[in-house]
Amino acid sequence: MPVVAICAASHLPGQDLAPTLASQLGYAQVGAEMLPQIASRLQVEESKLQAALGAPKAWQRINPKLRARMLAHIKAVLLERLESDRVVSSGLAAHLFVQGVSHLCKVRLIADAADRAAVLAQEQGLKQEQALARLEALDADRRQWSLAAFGEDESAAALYDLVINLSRVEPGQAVKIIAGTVGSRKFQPMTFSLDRLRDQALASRVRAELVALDPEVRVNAGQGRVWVQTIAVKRQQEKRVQALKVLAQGVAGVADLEVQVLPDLIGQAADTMR
Amino acid sequence: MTQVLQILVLDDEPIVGKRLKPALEKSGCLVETFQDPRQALARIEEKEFDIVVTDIKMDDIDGIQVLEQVAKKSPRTKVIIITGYAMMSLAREAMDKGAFDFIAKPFKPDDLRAVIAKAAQALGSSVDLMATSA
Repeated sequence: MPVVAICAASHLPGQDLAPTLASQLGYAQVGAEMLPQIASRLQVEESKLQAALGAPKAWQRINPKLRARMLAHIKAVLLERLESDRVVSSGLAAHLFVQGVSHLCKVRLIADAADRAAVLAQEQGLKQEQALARLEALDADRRQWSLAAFGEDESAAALYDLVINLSRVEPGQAVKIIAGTVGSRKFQPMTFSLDRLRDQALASRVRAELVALDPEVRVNAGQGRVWVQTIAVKRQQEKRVQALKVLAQGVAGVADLEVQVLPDLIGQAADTMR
Repeated sequence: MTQVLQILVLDDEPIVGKRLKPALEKSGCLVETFQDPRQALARIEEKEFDIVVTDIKMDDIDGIQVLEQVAKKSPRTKVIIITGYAMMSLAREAMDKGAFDFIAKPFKPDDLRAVIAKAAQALGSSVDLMATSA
């Protein structure tokens, strides 16, 4: 079955659509409730993980190695869940990192600034003008975060299959539109898209295992074959390759593994200056 | 439908038909292979196939045109697209126009056999293609 990734702008009027959509489609809804699992894998506090997602300042304050581990584990956990099918995902950035999977319908929910500001004003006891200014800053922060973490501007309409303005479309109608789109032939899973999702899920699982050893490690997968690319100074290359191989081979689904090591020219130059 | 699946394979790379024909015939299918889409379309006009397996990128006529033609001539025929240029937009277009499945090359004959088995099942065939797989 097709899967759905919803990205909702903050402070939308009305209730969260994801549970209603999931219930109408007979799907499971996944999102923030997966954070404890991810936090436990990372051995970090859930509140720290939550704060880092979507807030560029909190994100930038985190050690780069931990940031890389956070992203790797979020991807691995979420892709594994998407692979299991019949899922509406919201709030965990699937729309930003799942690429080229034709049976994943990416949906952006927005509303007019005035309506969102009204929600924020009521929530935080602000005047409408103050809320509008706060909202603008929040949106800019969110854009910065999505660019810093995933290299994508979350607010760009081109990223999505559907963009729905909840100031113009009733929530019930929006759910019908999304369900209708997901039900169309275009979004039906096929061998190609299922393989793409499986490959991305496998690459993410492997990367999540390797990222503590090398935060910059690159991993690709196709039909059970996994290609790992790492950078190391000459004296560490053999050891690095062996360590990566041991970790990667332990990941379920890895049928064949190739580890390529590229010379760390900057590291080598630094070595010569010691 | 007959118990023997009638399959047409169209790919301008001769190696594709050469590899798929024996693999599918081993499973008891009757297979006709073509490299020229015009000849394939002419054959489709003459005969109703159960399954058409077609490449997308070919000179003159592409796989989407073949898909449209098959859908017009024989709506029950299942069309499976195979391509080395797999992209999300193309995959969605093919599915929207009625493709049964869309597979990226390279693939193993057994991968295609599994898809053909699903197509056969959708056609109500009792042929068990996977029983003879390698």
